[in-house]
Amino acid sequence: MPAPETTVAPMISLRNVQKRFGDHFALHDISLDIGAGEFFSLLGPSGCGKTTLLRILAGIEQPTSGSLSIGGDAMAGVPANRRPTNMVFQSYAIFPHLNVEENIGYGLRNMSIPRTEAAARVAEALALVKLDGLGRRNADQLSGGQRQRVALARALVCRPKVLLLDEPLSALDKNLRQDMQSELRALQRAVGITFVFVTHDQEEALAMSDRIAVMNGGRIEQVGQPAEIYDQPATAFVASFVGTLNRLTARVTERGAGHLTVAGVPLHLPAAASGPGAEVTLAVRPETLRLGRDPECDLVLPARVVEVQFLGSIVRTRVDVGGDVISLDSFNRPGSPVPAIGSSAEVSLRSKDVIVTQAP
Amino acid sequence: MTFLNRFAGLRLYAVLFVIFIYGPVLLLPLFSLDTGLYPTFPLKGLTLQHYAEMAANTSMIEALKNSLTVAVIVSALSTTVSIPAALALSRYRLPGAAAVLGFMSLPLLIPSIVIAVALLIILLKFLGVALSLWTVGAGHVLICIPFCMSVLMSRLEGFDPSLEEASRDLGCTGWQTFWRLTLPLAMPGVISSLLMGFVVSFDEFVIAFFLSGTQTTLPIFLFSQLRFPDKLPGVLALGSLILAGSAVLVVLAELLRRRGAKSANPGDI
Ligand SMILES: Nc1ncnc2c1ncn2[C@@H]1O[C@H](COP(=O)(O)OP(=O)(O)O)[C@@H](O)[C@H]1O
Ligand SMILES: [Mg+2]
Repeated sequence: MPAPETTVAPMISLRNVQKRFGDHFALHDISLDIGAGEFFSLLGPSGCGKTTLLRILAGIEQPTSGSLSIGGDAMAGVPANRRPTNMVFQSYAIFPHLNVEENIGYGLRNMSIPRTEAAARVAEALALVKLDGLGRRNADQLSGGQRQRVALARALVCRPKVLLLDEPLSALDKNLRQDMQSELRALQRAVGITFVFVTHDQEEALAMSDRIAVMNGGRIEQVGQPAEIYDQPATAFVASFVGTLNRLTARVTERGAGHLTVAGVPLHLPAAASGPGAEVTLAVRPETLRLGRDPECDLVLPARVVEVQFLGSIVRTRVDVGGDVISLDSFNRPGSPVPAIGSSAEVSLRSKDVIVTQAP
Repeated sequence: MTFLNRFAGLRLYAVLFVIFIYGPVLLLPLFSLDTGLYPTFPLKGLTLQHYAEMAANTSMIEALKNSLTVAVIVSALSTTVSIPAALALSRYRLPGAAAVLGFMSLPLLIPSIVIAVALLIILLKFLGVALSLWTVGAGHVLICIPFCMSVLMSRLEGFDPSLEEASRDLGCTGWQTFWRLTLPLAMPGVISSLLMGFVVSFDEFVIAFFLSGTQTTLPIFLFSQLRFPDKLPGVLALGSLILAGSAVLVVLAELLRRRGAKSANPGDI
């Protein structure tokens, strides 16, 4: 399924946005378009500026320079309370002096909507987040999952053009988090609102998003669909942050650019453009490697088994290839032999699955 | 020494402590019910006569009214001016906020006689204002503000700042956010501040002594009555009533504080 392309006027458009706190740059030169109806994730490690970017979209924080438009309207000088965005805060920010209904109806009171219609919309929102019957509950009698739903309903009931979510699932336990991932995704499809979703969890971003922007140190490293981000990481950072990554050291031979050896095995990779003698770092995903000699693979490397981990349906084997320890995954099939630690083995892969990154 | 022994020792200490603090105060209602003219043991007999005398003492009732009026106005005024100041100091990183806070608590440290004399000079020499209950009230506002500020700030600082951001995000202006979110959440603090202002003003002697004109407040009136031994039982009766009133106030404040404490950690999950 192709992600919505942003050739039509984008819902959100950021141009050269910078944000400085004192002399620290939280955001460097962010330019980004997000399409209407997209589930768009901002993914990156803690402190990379995700929340700051979200707060700039919401109007809670002002950019130091650069411009921003939402739904085609420039947002310079438009305060948070007049933007077509609503936010689900990381702490959920449930108003403690109000019950669930009053929390959800909070924003509607500013919209001059008749009382009966407001009540109907609150009831609809309660049903949407599956909290029917809990309208009269006090805020302090809610579980973490329920607080998250109240925060979601409170924002959605205002029918924003863009919903901003700041790590809404990070406070939930693992099972609930996985349920909420699919529920949130289904909800987004149902309401058709553009979601900007912040997370530091790459699996979450890959599982939920139409497109992802990977951020690091206040910059966007790559924007793309989950499969692009995973299979064709644009930078070494993206390659290592998204998914598990194995690094292999290769050396360019006398024949020059593109001709390499790894653990003594020759290999041709046009992407490795360095001159003879240079060291190149190759990246390989665990799932592209096979233990043993595989006829579909054009590259077979000698290895020694270092460690075997059972991960349930998957067995992760760690092997030493020419001094680099790498992981490879295979399905745990009953009857398939488990490699012995210390034994020598062969690792097969296809040279087209190898990602070339420059030496760190 | 065993744990039990130490525990018994502690308990004895606690009992003595409570007697030391509350004993003298509790003598007041006791003697107010005695038929004798002088507060001595043994008690001579039980009577409510002093309470009747007190009610008949119009100048005492007048002083009580003055004190109540001043205390109510002072507590409302000092709380009202403290709310915006406490909000500003707890919300924004203002330049010089620490200095403002320091200056603000100065009236707590300066002896009230110094403040009283300084105010007297300013009022009489520079402003040329006649002394009245208004000047007493103005002096009381000055010394009440630090108390009100500290109560309010401790309440306001406990909030998750994203609550106010959420309110703005949901369409409220700053002013609407104040009325719909900040003030309701700060209400336990506002009520403590009102009580605090009331008690400080009602009880205050030195400033009232210097700054009052022909109308006196209750502490000044009571002090003047001590010269007349036959007035003493009436003073005791009034004192007992005030004691009962304060007890009710303290219990109310504590109940409110507990209700506030329950809702004070909104961000908890
Ligand atoms: N109000 C602020 N004042 C100063 N520095 C801030 C402020 N908000 C964020 N920062 C800094 O900006 C950087 C990015 O923060 P943030 O956007 O919260 O990161 P993330 O949400 O990705 O974890 C961090 O280094 C943080 O310390
Ligand atoms: Mg964050």
